[in-house]
Amino acid sequence: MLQSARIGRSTRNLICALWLGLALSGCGKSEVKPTGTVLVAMADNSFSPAINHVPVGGSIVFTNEGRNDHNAIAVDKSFSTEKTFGRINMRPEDAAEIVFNKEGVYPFYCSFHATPDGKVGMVGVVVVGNVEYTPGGARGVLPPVETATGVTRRVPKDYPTIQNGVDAANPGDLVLIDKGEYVEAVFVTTPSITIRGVDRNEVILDGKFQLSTGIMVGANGVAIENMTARNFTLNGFYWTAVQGFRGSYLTAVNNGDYGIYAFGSTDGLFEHSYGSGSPDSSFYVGQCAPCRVVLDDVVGEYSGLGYSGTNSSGDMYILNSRFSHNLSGIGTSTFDIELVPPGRDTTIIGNIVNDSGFENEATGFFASETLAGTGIMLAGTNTNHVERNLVVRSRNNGILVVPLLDRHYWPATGNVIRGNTVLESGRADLAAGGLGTIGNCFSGNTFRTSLPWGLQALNGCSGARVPLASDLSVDMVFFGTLVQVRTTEVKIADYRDRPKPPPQANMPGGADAPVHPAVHVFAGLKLNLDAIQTPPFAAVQKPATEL
Amino acid sequence: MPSLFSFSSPASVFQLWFVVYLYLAPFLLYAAWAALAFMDLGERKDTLGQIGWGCFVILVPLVGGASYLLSAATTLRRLPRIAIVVTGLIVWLLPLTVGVWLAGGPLGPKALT
Repeated sequence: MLQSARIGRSTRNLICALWLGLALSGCGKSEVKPTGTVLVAMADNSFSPAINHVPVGGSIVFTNEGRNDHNAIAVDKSFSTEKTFGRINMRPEDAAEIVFNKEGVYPFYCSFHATPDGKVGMVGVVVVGNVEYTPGGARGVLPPVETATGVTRRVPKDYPTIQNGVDAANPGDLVLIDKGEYVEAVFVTTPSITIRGVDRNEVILDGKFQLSTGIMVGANGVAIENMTARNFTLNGFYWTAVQGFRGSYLTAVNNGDYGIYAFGSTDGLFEHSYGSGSPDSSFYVGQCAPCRVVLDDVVGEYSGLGYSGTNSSGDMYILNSRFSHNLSGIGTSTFDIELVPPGRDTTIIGNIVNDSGFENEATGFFASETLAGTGIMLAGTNTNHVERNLVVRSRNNGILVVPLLDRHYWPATGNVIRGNTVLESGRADLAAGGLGTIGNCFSGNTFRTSLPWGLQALNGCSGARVPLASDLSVDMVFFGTLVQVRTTEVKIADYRDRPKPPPQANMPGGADAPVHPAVHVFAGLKLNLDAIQTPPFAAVQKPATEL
Repeated sequence: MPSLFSFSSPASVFQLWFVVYLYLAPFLLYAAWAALAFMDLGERKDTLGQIGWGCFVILVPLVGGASYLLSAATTLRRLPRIAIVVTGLIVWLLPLTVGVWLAGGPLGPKALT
């Protein structure tokens, strides 16, 4: 029924040319016949698009556009890219075509980054022919609600597992989890529910380094509160492709990719939460424009990045938070492997970023190692505001503005770096590098060193600026580090044994706190950015958990 | 003030490699080719040619100097002129190509070492 074919790079170029030719030949015609082929990108770590419709006899071309190995395997085993290549993994830039000759719905997954039931992690679905398909849980798509129902579903008293509880909940319900260790990976498809632990430090989802993600949310308006997720091979808490989300008083420790993670999701809030020991980042917000997402009073430690935002743009705020002992503290970036590039319009105010990039502290992965030792990094992103932050003890650069070369060249322009205190950086407190790094301004920062020299004096936020405002040596040492990482063995601390945090503050009110579904989250926030002060230098002398 | 030539920590020979061949070598070649071109320009008799070539050599870095040495220099012998340009390009571009080749490509899986 299903056939597969390996596609080399030249063949893929031909396909692209054909697509272009078809697109051009279709111009001006009143009717365009479907070609029957859909391109599905394998990013790190998701399929894009995840839901695909093809006609009977049509095909999907899977292309690995990530930096990790991936594959695509049907849940019913009717197809697998393994059959194409004779090996389980598709390497970066590999491509495979699968032909679908029989009508039906074919969920699929990546065996490295998802569960075999096709429900959690890097999963997708192919709908072949005119088959009705509605994404969602067993009950189909339920409408979201704006107010709580007052119904509480207790785990394990009423339902033995958290998954049972969330599956039974209706929109607006509270799923209340009692103290205990829960070894499960939960997938939420019911909108507007609140999942709450009675005690942040004693309600623990534990993946035992076997399960992929603690709680993955695929429904709008879901809030998760007052619990811990640890030891998952991918993520602690993960919202994907949702509108409206909130994570409050969460702890995510020693998870293999991200701690607390929102992808392709908008209108959200992460607050009063802690993440540590994630090779990619403790907190991640990616692929959203406009995001309308706020991180407020969070702590990220011992990770590749404390916060990472790729292609996250517009009304994106990181406020009053602390990022300590990571390879790098805060990073905004633009990559072609996610949608809606470039990243832009992130506001970073009032944060403490300290001790970035020191040996044997943080976990990470190869890519994060190349720019390790940076406090705040704007890589290929534009019109961000970095103001009134305290950035101390970065192994290399305190605040760094650089372009990013992926499949396209993404310059960093129009960024405002103002009123920060940046001290004790190993190379430069303020640094700008690369070609096209123009239009950025530096004003009112307290610092001792800059690259190039006179960066702030010659590139103020008012008055005339010198057009040459970057230093190529920043890029040269980056390229050198890149080669170093690629050609030699790099020692990276294992995420599984990063330091455990002390007990974290519980949510006020605990189990009895009011229930608010996560709808209209951003509109409900009263952000007063002008009131945020630069944290005092003495703050970095205290452990993050005592602030 | 940090030096332009300071390295990121941990420093490596690869950083030196890129700083020298991608960053410093073009400046050195520009200076060397322009200096030789001006030595030759000083011997020319046509003022218009001196001014025109002089501007080209200065305002179009590397290309101006190399073009003049390869096509218009008169007082230097042909073989040394070609050798100066070609050797300079080899010294610059060969290590650069190797470096870019090493830097390119995927970084590999997120496996821990």
